[in-house]
Amino acid sequence: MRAIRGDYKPTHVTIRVPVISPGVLQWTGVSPWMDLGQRALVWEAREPDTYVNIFFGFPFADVPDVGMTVQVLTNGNPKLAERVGRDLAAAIWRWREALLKSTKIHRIADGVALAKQAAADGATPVVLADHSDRSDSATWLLREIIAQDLSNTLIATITDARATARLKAMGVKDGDSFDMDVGGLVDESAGEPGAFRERSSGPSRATASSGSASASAATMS
Amino acid sequence: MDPLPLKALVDIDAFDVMAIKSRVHFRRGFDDSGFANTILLVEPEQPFLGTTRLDGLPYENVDLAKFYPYGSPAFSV
Repeated sequence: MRAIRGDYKPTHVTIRVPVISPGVLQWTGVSPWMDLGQRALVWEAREPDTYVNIFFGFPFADVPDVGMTVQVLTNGNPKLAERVGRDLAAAIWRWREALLKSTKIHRIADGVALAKQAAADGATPVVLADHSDRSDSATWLLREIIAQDLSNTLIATITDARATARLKAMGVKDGDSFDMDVGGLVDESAGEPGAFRERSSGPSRATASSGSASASAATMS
Repeated sequence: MDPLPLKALVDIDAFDVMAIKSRVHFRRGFDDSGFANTILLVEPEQPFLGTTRLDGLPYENVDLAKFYPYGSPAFSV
């Protein structure tokens, strides 16, 4: 609106920084990702009419424009835009190693073992955060949880339209136990189905949500 | 992702461990909210879509060698 009225002349600089990272490492709750946001906010506070964008980049798009980009907008002041842009681009480059190391990712077997230890130490609730696939059918974590006998664990969720339909046809209600293979198979990243079986340590239980194509919550005790 | 909608399905307070299918958007509901005492981000051995090991992906339009940390690109401002 200010540009249309004539009292803001958008003048911008765009600087690409050759740093690439997956989204899971771009969490702004820790330094130095948090510091990048803070640095941008300080520039905007110090220099009225300056607006900063820092694009962390989406690496799974497979396009030449991947990687990080700084964009700065000023009111007709190219030197200021350049100064702010260079400051932020230089900070990214200086902090590149720390940026890539800011979040720890475990292999599933290691993560389940650590979860077991944390539960034994009473550091609960423990959250195992997985994103093996995009179909929500993946069973890598479920199968490792069963293999390592991680107890008192809620698995939310594993999608399996056929299993859900079968459960509904069987008249299974919330909290009922069942024996069934669930999930997997829709593509390579989903893995093999995981098996819920009656076990000596207690039954596997399922909760099927009505109207949904997913076996919404499967629990083990 | 947020723990609250799950409460409508199951008694989540009764569990020691929750395995969820989110590694980014779960932060608000499970981490920033103070819900979890332990958070473990995991991924399988294979580099599927979403992996942190980008060099395992079949890029056609990106040369990873031009980007840190996969190559040693020159950069100055």
